[in-house]
Amino acid sequence: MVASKSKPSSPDHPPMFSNKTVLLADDSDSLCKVLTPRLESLGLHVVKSHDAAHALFLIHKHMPDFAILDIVMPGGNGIAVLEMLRTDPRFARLPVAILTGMNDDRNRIRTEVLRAHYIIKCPTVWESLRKWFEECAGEMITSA
Amino acid sequence: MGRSMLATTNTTARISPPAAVDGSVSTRLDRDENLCLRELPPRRMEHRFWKLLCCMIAAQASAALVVLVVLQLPWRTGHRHDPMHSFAQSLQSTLQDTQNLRVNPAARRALMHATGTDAIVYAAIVDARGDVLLESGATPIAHDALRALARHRPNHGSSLRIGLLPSRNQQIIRAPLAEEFETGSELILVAEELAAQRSVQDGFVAIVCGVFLALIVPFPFACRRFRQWTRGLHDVHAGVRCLALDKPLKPVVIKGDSEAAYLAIAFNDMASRLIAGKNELIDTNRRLEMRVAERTEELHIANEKLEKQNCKLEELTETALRFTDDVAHDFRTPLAVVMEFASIMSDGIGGTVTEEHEQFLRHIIHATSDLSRLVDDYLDSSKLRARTLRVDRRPHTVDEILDAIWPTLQSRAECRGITLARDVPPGIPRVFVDAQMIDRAIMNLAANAIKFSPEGCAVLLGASSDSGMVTISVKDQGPGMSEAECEQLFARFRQGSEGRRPDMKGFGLGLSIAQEMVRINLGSITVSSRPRQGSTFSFTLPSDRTETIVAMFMDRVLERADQRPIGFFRVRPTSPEISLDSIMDWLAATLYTEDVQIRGQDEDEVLLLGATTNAARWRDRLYAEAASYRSGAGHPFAGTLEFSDPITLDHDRVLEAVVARIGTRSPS
Repeated sequence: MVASKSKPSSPDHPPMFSNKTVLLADDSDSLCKVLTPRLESLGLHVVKSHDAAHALFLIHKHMPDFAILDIVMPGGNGIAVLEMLRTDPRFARLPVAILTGMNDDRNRIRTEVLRAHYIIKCPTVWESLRKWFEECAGEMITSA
Repeated sequence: MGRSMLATTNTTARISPPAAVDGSVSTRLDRDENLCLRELPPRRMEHRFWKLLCCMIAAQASAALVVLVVLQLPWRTGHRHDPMHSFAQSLQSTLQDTQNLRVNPAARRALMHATGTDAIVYAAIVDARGDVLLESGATPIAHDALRALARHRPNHGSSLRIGLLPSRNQQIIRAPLAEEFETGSELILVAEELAAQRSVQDGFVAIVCGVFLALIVPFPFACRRFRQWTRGLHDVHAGVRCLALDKPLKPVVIKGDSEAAYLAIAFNDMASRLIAGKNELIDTNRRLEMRVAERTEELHIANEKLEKQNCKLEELTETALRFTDDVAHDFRTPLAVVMEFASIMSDGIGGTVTEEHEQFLRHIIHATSDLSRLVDDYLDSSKLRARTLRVDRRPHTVDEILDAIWPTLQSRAECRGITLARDVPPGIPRVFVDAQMIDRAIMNLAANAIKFSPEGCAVLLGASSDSGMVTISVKDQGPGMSEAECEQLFARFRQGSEGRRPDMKGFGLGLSIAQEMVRINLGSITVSSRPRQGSTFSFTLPSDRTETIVAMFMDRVLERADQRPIGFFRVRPTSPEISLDSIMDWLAATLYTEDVQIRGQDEDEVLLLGATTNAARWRDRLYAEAASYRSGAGHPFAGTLEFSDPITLDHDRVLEAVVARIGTRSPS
């Protein structure tokens, strides 16, 4: 019998956020499922969507503090959703991360122009997301 | 038409041979041999000339003879009818009884001869005192004078005087008499003298006439002959002209055995051969043209077919590549999911994990990350092929670059039981590169090194600098390669990803991409290896010195066969709210991978270096791109960029211009 080791379900240090909501829109259910515990470990409340139009609806409904959008989704394009958000003053400063499998320069530039973060789906996707959340947290502290 | 004429020409050539002189000509003509090459009988012209000359001499001689005969005849026979002769006889008979006067027959003959033409004889009867009693008129009316004399017979004591006047003069000259002869002997002397004179004169006239006749008589013959010859030559000339002007040619017919006839035959023969040859040539040409046309048509059809197939093939390739690209993209999400679940489990978020489970999970994570790297490699090679890879060169330290990939490499090495070490001595200058690309290059080389090294060995990542260039090396203690294998490795690099071979498994895409990444960052990659002594892959990078960047950029440009000139200009935002970073980001996505952008010293402009044949067009393209951003996503600096006039320069002037703008070192 191999010695088992137990890990706490929550990190040792207190969660990064409290009472914050994140919208996660990706057509891949497994990715949503795998990212949810990670996001929750940061103390975030996760709202999931697999559809662009539905994601937009959920953003208006829940007014999340963060949004993670896939580009290619049924019912629309993540960047199009981002553009719509940026035209609304309520979401003009909403931190958004675009999550995509395509490393496309045009999309990257459009994303950067729309003041969003561009993250490529790769095995280090969580590392990238975590860094982004850290940056956002830092910015929130400084603005506060 | 050509054929029929040819036949005519040939027939004529056979019909009109000159009448055989010795039979040899006709014998030769009967045989169908090359008439043009036939020789003329030797010395033929010479013989003919001598013949003609002899004829002329004979004609001349005979003509001269005829003239002499004609001229001499009246002199020999005409004296019987000569009035002076009659006069002399009458005179003799009349004066028979005259004592004082006796006419000597010789004198008479001389007199008659002398008076034949131009001398005038007169006769007079004078008395003893010398007075003229009676005188005759001048001949040829001497008969009248004689009759008058006869009627007046001279008296005794009177004498007859006969005189000569120098010329035929109708007037009677009385006194002084030109010459008077008392005695017959004197008269004879004078008459003989005159006769001698006259015969010389006659002979001369005869010769002159003879020569004249001799020239005149053969002239018509000669003319005829010459006309024959020249007409023949004229005909031949006309034939040659027809031939030259490509007019219908009639065969030249010259009768006889002359050279012209031979010439005509030879000409006809030659013309017929020429025409035949020409017709054959035309026929051949036409046939060839038809064949060429046929072949061209075939080729055209084949070409069209090939083009269609090519198009189809290109489409298929494009579809296949797009499909694999899409597949590769689609790999990313499941890979990320696998990875994440594995790491969540490994982190114990899902519950407790045994040590063994954790090791299994780590293997899963590494395999997934390998697979993910393969996908990245594939997608990058696809971008390299399409030349759409974004290059963003900035100054970085070597440690920064290594730090970014160190944890991944470290964990991979640990997993395989390999020691990973780095040796970056202090004082290594910063490098001017796209950090992500160089990370990929080092990652690929190091991953290969880890993969090929046996357990327990070490992989060393080192850096050194020399004359502005920084060299990064990845050294392993693996099995190594022979020199031939190393060469093969690089030969395959040149061939590109198409040259991949199954026996080189493991060095495939990763190495090729590493090389391409280094190339794009102006460096070059080398390998040194020995069997059983490990391999060292090292590559150069430009340090953050302007001279090095420009020199390495120029080296890269000059490697190309077309050696394009260099365009250089500055880009400056016109409003202060546009950050230089956003311009550089945009340029990195817009420029070709070869082009280099350097941040200006005063942080207010970007210098662009590009290999281009037309720097102005290059700038226009960038303007157009900027405009398209403006119309599209509302790029913040679109339309507010200012481009300086492009400068097309050689290496030294590029360096000079860049240094003049930003100094020898780029600011960070």
